[in-house]
Amino acid sequence: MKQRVFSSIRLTCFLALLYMAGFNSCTKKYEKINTDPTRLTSLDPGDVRGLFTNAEYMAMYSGNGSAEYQYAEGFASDLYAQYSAITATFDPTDRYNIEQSWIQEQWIATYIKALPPLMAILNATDKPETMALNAIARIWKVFVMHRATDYYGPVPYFHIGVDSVVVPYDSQKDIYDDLFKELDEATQVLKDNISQPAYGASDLIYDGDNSRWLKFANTLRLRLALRISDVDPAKAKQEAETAVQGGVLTDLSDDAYLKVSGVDYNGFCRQSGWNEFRMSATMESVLVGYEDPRLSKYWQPAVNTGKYDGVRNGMDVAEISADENSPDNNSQPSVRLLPESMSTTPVTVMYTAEAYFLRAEGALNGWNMGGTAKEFYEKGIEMSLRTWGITDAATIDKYIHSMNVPIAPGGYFNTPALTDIPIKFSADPEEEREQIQTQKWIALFPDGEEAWASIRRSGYPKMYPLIHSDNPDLPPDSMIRRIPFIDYDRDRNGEAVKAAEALLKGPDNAATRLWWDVK
Amino acid sequence: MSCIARFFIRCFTVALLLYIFSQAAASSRQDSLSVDIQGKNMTIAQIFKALHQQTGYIVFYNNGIIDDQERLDMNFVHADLRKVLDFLTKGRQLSYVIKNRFILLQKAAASISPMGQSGLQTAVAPDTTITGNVHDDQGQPLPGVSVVLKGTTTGTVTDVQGNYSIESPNTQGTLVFSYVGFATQEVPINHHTALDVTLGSSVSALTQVVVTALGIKRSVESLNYAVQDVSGDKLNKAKETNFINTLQGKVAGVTITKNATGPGSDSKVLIRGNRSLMGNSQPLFVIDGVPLAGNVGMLNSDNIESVTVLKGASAAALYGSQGQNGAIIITTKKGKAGEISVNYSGGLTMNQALVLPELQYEYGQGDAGVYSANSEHGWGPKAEGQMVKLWNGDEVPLKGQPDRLKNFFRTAKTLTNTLSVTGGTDKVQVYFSYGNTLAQGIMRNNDLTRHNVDLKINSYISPKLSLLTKLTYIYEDVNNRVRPGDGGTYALPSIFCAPTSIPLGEMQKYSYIDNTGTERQSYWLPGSSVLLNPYWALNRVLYYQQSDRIIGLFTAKYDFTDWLNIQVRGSIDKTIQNDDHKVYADSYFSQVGSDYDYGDSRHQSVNLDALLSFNRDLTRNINLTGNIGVAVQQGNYKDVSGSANGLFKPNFFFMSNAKSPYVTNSNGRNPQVQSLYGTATFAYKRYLYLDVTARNDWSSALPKENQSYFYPSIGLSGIVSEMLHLPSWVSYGKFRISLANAGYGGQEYLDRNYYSVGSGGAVITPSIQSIGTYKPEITNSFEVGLDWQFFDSRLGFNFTYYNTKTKNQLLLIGPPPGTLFQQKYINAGLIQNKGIEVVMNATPVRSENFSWDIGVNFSKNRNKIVRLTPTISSIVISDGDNVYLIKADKGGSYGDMYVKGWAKDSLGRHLVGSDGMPILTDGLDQFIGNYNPDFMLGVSNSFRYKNFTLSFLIDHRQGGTVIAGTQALIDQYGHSKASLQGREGGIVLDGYTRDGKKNTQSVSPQKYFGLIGGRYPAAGFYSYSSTNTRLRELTVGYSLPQSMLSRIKFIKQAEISVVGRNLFFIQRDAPIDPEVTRGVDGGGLEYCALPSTRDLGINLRLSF
Repeated sequence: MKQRVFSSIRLTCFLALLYMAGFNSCTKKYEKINTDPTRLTSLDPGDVRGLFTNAEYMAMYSGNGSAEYQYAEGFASDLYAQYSAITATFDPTDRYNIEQSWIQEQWIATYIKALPPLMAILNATDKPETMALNAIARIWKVFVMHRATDYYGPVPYFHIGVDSVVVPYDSQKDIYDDLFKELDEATQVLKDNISQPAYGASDLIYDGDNSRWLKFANTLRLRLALRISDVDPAKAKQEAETAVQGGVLTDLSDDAYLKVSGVDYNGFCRQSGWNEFRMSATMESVLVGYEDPRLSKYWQPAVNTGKYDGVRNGMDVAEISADENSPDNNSQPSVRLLPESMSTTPVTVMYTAEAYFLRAEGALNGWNMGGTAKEFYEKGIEMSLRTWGITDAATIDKYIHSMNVPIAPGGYFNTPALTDIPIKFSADPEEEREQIQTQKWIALFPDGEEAWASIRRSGYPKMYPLIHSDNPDLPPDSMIRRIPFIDYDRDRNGEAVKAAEALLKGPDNAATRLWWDVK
Repeated sequence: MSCIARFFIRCFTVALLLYIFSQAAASSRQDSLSVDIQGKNMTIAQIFKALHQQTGYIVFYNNGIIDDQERLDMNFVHADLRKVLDFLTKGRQLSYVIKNRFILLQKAAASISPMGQSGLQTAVAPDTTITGNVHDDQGQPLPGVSVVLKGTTTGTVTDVQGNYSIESPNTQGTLVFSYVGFATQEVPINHHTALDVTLGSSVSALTQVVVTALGIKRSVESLNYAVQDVSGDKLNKAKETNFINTLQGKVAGVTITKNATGPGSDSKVLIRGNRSLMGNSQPLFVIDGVPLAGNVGMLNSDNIESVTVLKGASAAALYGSQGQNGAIIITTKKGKAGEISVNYSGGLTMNQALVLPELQYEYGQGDAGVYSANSEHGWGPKAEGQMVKLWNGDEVPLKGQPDRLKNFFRTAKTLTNTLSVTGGTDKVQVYFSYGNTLAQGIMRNNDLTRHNVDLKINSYISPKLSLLTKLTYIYEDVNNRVRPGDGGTYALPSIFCAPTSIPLGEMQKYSYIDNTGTERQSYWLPGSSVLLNPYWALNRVLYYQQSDRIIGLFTAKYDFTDWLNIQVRGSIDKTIQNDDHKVYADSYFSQVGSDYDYGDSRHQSVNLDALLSFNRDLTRNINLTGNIGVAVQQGNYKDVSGSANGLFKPNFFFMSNAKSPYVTNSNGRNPQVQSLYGTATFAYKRYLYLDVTARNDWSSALPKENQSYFYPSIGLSGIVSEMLHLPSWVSYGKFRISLANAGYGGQEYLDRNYYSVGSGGAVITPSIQSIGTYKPEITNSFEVGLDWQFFDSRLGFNFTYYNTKTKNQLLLIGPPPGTLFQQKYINAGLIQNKGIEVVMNATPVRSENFSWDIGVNFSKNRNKIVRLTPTISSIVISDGDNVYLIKADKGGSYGDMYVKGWAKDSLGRHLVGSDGMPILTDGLDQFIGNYNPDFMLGVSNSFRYKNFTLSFLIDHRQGGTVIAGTQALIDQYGHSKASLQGREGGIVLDGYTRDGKKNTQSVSPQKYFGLIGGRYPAAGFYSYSSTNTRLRELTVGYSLPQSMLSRIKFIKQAEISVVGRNLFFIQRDAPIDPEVTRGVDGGGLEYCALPSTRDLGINLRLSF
């Protein structure tokens, strides 16, 4: 018995060894093992639409639960435009302190998040059957890049997307020239292919409506034209007139909003739950003084007092800590701008109202805008009020003709009135300029990036001096002119940043004016 | 290369068939003492081994009574065991006794009388019987110990339970206890009739065996690299919920950083410094041959027999990729043949916060000297008992509440129990244990429950085939694992930043019901941006984590002959984990009302290997042992996590109640690594060893052309004390030298760019540029060492110098963002670690009743970044939340920290503005130090007096820098003791203005600390030396004497001990425990971390 069992073991061993000898190639499955099943290794033609969705989200700091809005805009241009002021002791950005590790998120949003899908689309759609897709992507790229250059001045533009150890910066003038050229070409192409199906439902702004993209592109061109109106008036006039001829945003339904979701949400709303900012005294002075019907649409009364109250920009830690300046004693954003609405309130991309204010200013410059400055000024106000749901004609009319002036907020710093300019359109051209810019500033809310650029160029509306400035280059009563070059890029692209300093009109600090900022 | 995966399937088929057939064979086999031993030129050692394998009997004999290297020709087929033994003892003046599972060889002249057998009588008439028990220093009974009455030929040996009985003519003699592998001990009888003896192991007396890579047992003599052993007993004396922490100070060159997240936290273990800049520098943990995939701290430490630390790359060369940072090999206890033995071990530990922030209790809530009920600050008026109205309307006297932190935290209790049962026959031995841990954290909502079940079965199915089956199941749930900083629960920053004038009792009213019937948070600054009522944070921001883990191992070993065997092994480590994170409505930081996140993850790692081992004498003087193996290793994972983004019905925490649920998935496979490897050790006359290893790995992570990589090692060791005739006071002397390579095969999915699909159908472009030319990382190491023992091994030292260089590191660098990639993988860099390790032991006193042992561990590591890439000289490794930057600079070392500091003028004087405030540097640009220590020192002393033991371990860490983030925070809030500075009269800083004038301007402390402190402080003001010395462990133990236990029949052994851990600091520079940094990888920064604990406990061990 025992013998038999052992011999069967031997036999088994022998057979097993034979069996094992028959093995074959071993790393055959390695490629499959090393392929991530949850991601894509290549893109099919339909994925171009998904790329555009992402480019829209990312440009508006809304993609995939990102917190970029606050870093890129909430702790920067929203404060510089004095829409809001900081009430959190840890945050020094309201005192012109450039927190590089925060503001770099704007750079990352531009170069790492918004541009890569756009460049991928441009590469994939340069074909006759996808010309509309191509043109819209070019328009969106202009939108992305004008925001970047208006923050810093020179930025990498012509050589992006190249695998290189240095990506050079380009001068703001060269960039603007190309932005105009791009808009010119893209609008032509889009007009020629206006019926070609484009992004459809993947376009979260205009739902695939090419004609409204065309209006958007022309309005963007008008915006850029006014931007250069002091540095190159002739070109500005020509670009502005071409834009208006091509057709700009005119109707309420032309308002450009980005649809949001529970994941890709409205960045402004998201940050307003953290109680780190409140309405600025600047807004309080203007909106309360004007008895502006938009006041309650933008802000809500303070929890403790039931009154609309704003705080001054530039408070130090002790002042922020004072009771009177605490979050609950001041106005937080309205419900539609709070986190509970962050997956429903769409992100403002561009208002139709702005197109009218731009035309008003153009008309004041003597350009052919198809109407008078007064007409456009009043239409712009009306459009903005309607945008915020104020549709009663009498209310609108009363507002447009109001002689109300900004109030003195008083309070902790005994703040005087911001200015004495009323709403009713003046007869004095300089006052008209101030009125147009003041109303544009109100209407642009909460688009701090455009508001700050416009204030820098035009000098209106007036702003309160900061209570304190931590920035040695900027006295408290000065306006910050630009964001210095980003350390994040300096660490990675130092040579190019060094070279870019020569493209500036002064040292690389926040006091140096941009190319178009000459007044 | 052939398909190893298939090979394994085949191996297992074979193993299974062998198993089935041998089962049949075993059942048909009669219990018989017949053996087959055939062979020419067999050494006696080989014969004994064969006898053991065939019969399960162990042969015991004293050193020197037989030359086990003597060679004999054997030809016994189905011969009776006694016949073989007769043959072996014939003509050698030897006799043998077969008893239970032992064969005892003794000099024939001595009378041998195992218990129960009458020994040969000598001329001396017996009149006293002395009985007792002999055990080792871990309390395990030692069978087969020879007990001889000194100067006579009277002797006996201990039985299976270690008991002996010997007759002595008087009560004045001396008994000599000797046993293979242990120091011989002489014990005077001194009128005793019962003598229990503990034998200590001796380094020189016998070849010490350690478990090395792949579970290969090797004699220490043949090793050419540094290993250090710690017995499980030493780890278990003063327990922690993560037993790895108890290695601290016990092994030279090992640094352990606790993650301050409450009971059961993971820990960062580093052996000889950081080798990899961005990859993993953690060593590999291996338990009974199974590489672990999950947290090693979950294991039941009571089951640990020993822990061996393989420090160098050469030690781990055979683990390949995983072992290049060294390996920590854990061997668990196994079943023992014989009667069933039941062991119980239990402990109760009390934990208390060791270091708490120093607060001020003189000034009340408020700002600028004025009381404010809504302020989060302590800049209010002097608190002198004046009545004030709190935010909630209550009126209380304004005064400091000095016990507030002490009372906020609790004295936590940790209860551990392990019951183990072991027993078996000579064919099957079983070890079973059940353990549980109920551990509270010092945070009142934090606790851990863990159950561990372990079953280990060793079966000797036939003389040639043995099987080991092991199954471990672990259940763990953790309530509210503490997340330090403000990343989630906020309870720690909230209590540290609560005004010290608010009584704790008022804070405990953390919520109220508003007029809509909704529960609201009651906090002094409603809607605060960062802080919460600390009790709200404890009770309304909840986090629950539950895991199930299974570790399984199956090993089959088959001996072809006495010099050749094959071992086939398969193992799995699988963890299923569930996370639930519940945020109640009105927790300010949640933007969407109440919110809920969950996560489900499954991670597993599978290892299969086959190892052919041989051991042959090539000539009379040269022995060759070697192994050839193949292995395949594969991990995979599946994670699903979801966020509710707000709940429809508030505070009802289910995904079906989510407003806009967002689910993310990741599942995939870790790299598959297939390996072919071999080792060969040539031993010359058993004193000179040459060791060669070679390994080739194929990693699926690498592109086809780089998939295969080869790395060898070579080493030499020599036992000087055997080669030369050294003075007798030199007990042992050895040198060792080794050169080794280790390769690392990388991470999955890096060789291609991937697009992801996001919500709304968005297609997301990759932000990290892949590495199409991915190469394996290679570590070269050089190591020399000396191991010497003197004076009968009462003094010894162990010295190692090493130098490792790691190149081709996988680095994630930041290319210019204009390339449209945020990061980019490259292979580059050269990191050097060199250092020394010294281990010393001394036994100043060793006698029957009293002994004193000293152990010293010293290590010093220097890390240098030799180069990064030709174009890059600095890489950001970690951007610590705007507080510090960890950069790898060419010429610098890993862990260099840069912060915002106090600017200086050209003369090196601190700059102050015209307003008297300090001028800060521009960004995170001031080098503040490196967070790694300069050297580490651990000194342990143990004393034994009769049945009492006392031991303590003092642990010293020299150098390194730590940033005290909590201090910066509470300074700004005006709660710290430091913020009392200048309350009346202001602070005049010692500095100069830009125009060179000495500062005379005074600033208010609120303004000053407002600038330098806070959440994002100028950390240059908050860096401290990490140097500290602490009493790490103190234990006092008492084991009940055998004489007492013999009255309580059923208890064989009992030991009780009082233990303390982390009791106090002898020296400390920082205002925190510098060991407590923000996370496993966030070295150097403390920020609202859970305080470390002082532990005091009592342990009980019983054997039945």
